[in-house]
Amino acid sequence: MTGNISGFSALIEKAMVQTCYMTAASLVCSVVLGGALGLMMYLTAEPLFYRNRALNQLMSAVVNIIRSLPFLILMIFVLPLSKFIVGTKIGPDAVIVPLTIWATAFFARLAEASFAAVSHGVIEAYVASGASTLRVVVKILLPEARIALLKNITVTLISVIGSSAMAGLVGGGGLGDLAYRYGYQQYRTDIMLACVVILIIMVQLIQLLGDGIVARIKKKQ
Amino acid sequence: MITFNDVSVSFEDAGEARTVDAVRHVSLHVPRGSVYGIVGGSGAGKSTLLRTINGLQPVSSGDVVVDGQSVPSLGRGELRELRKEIGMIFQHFNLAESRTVGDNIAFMLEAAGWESSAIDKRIDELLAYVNMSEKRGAYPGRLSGGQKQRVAIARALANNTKILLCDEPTSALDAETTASVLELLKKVNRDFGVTIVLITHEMEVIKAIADEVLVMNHGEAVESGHVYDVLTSPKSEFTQKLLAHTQNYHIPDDVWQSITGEIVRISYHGGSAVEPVITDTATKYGIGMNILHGRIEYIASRPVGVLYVNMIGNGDAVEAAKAELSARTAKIEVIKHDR
Repeated sequence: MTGNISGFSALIEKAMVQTCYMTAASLVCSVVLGGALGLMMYLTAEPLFYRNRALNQLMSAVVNIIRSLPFLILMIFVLPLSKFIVGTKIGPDAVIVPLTIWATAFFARLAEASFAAVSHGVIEAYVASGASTLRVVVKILLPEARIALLKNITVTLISVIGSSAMAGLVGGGGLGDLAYRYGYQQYRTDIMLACVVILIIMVQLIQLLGDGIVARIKKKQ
Repeated sequence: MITFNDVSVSFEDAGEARTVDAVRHVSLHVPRGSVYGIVGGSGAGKSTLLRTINGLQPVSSGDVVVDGQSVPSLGRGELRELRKEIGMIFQHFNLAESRTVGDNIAFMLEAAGWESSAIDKRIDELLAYVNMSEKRGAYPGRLSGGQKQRVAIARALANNTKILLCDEPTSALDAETTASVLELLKKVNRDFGVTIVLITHEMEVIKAIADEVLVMNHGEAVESGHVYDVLTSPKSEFTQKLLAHTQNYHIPDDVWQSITGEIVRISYHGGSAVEPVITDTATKYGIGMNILHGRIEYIASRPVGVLYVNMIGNGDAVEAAKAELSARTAKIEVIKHDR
């Protein structure tokens, strides 16, 4: 019942590349966008910077709305927008749009918490120096938050891999797509198993890498 | 150097939806080059008042004038320029953990626009001054509390600051380290003429370092003046209570029980403490005076003290001796009567 080995591995390889592509592209976009959103939420909540309750609550509400939708629903809802942004409604490129929106909201919350966890006293000490907000943010806030940020990027990356698997349901490609079409619809247990094993290994490696980087920084300081 | 004119600060307590009056109508003048202590319990408003000097805390009404500039009326940019001249140190040191000792100081100099060649030299100079030269490349996580505070002092002085704000600088330190940090602050004041405003809940810190003191309670200025005057003749009940535990001594119960004759508590201020009052009086009236407990300390180089003395002799002589003591010392109280 198994197909030839080269066909099998070609399928897996293609799916892996697609998963990595979707994940990497949306991770990069969401860390940048979510990080910026998280930073703005922090800055508008902090009296030492630009406390602004209305703006803060507006951003918080947007994040909550996105976060309250399961990814599957968000994806179906947003895909028409993909046509507009990346020119297609199918394939990995189309899935990157909802994936980025979802991960941005996810990471924004985590980034905000990472900034808020930085010692208020340290921030106060450097605001009191008369330095500009930009300088305090870039040279103090970001480095002081980097361990928490790295941990949260790891968490976000793993969640994005998980969500990207749902892309299979809309023909998005990747390991989820493969497991769904071959493993589930065609009873190809070997392909299903291969997808499961690869996903487990990917997640383990990412977690190990994330923990390793954090441990190195901690050891230094 | 710093003048508070009828300063009040209130803010909304978001949790309880009410307004908190943290500082109420405080007026005060901090002379240039002085060490000004602000003492009070927690929630007295001293930390809030301190932060109005560099604008970390906006005032609700009144004015804070620093070196001729009205802080509440400064724009964002002007406020930042003023902050570059005001250093600040904290109870928990607040060094950036992600930067080395040298880089923590370098930030201040970069922010103030120093040339990079000058920055390097200035960091060496500052670390040598606070005795931390060998720790330039160390991360704050590897330093003890006292070492962190020394680095924080170097950081605060980096840009040749004229004013140093100290927010409970010794409250997280042990007694020995506290003494060395206070010595360093005094030295900073002497060597560079930096005006120091220091807040603390400990009278001992005020005694050790301050020239003038403001006593605060519930956001109000209770009393202020020269440390020696406030400590030796406190006018308010609150100050008296604050001082009580540093000037009352406990005589162990079995000693108290076994003693015959009167026990008096004699308070000394200023000149009288250095005169041989006790021996004079004992000799003159032919009585025994046995010192049971007490302490004489020096505030602003003037002696202040309390002695618990057991007076032994016949009634008339003791009464006459007490009259003499009463005339020559600040205060005498009989705390145990003759049986």
